[in-house]
Amino acid sequence: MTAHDTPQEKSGRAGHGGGLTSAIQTGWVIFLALALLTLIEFIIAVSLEANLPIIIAIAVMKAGLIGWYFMHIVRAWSSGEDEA
Amino acid sequence: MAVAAITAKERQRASINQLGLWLFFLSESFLFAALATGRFYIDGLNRPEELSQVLGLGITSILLLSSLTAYRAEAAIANGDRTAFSRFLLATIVLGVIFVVGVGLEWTIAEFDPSDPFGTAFFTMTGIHATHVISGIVMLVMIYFLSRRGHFSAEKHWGVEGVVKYWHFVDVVWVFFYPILYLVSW
Repeated sequence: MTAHDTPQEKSGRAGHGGGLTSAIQTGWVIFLALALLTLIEFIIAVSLEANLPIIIAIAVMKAGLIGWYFMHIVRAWSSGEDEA
Repeated sequence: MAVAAITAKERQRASINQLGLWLFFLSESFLFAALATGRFYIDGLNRPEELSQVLGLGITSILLLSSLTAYRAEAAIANGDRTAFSRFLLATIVLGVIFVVGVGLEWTIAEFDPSDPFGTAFFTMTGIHATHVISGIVMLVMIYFLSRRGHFSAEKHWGVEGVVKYWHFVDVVWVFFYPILYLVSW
């Protein structure tokens, strides 16, 4: 990293937890959480009538995980200086 | 002085890129929210028995897995690992193609008609979503060939970041469409 890195350049690395190993771990943990939630969603759907509120709540959780960890939504509103 | 001016300009450009992308996602969200709402308006919470649950769960798993490979590709280029980047990008492309084939298969075996209330919602929602997946695949292929020409590095990879974010966004849309079409009941 140089002194002239743009926020985008810095965030490329910072956004992945500061290293490839950390990024790999985060990726797997989030994927397994998503898979588990999908399985729970499926089991609820086949075993429970009137499941709309629970199913939508699980979908919101899954979207939150993807948005927060995979899309780095928090970075969209950061100024850049705080990411170094 | 000149370097500081360039850095400030690049910083501003990076912020504008991010803002533009998220505004695009916001505008797309309105389209998909309208489609999701339309499903309930047209057919309530009706869910036909002949809908293939196995296929629905299968293609959902494929798309979730593709988000992991896309994330790994972005992490790889951010850390300067071009080999891993190419490998995970190709894996994402292949998984995307499998998803589209799965949707096509669902369309082929679906026993409900497009003119049925549920069929109208189902074919519209999956069709528009699949179009977005196909456009994502096209962009991933472009990124792959650009990377082979050395366009991206650990320092400069906004193109990769933007396309991967788009791919995750398409995944988020399916996270809602899958239960709305396949799972909900009342």
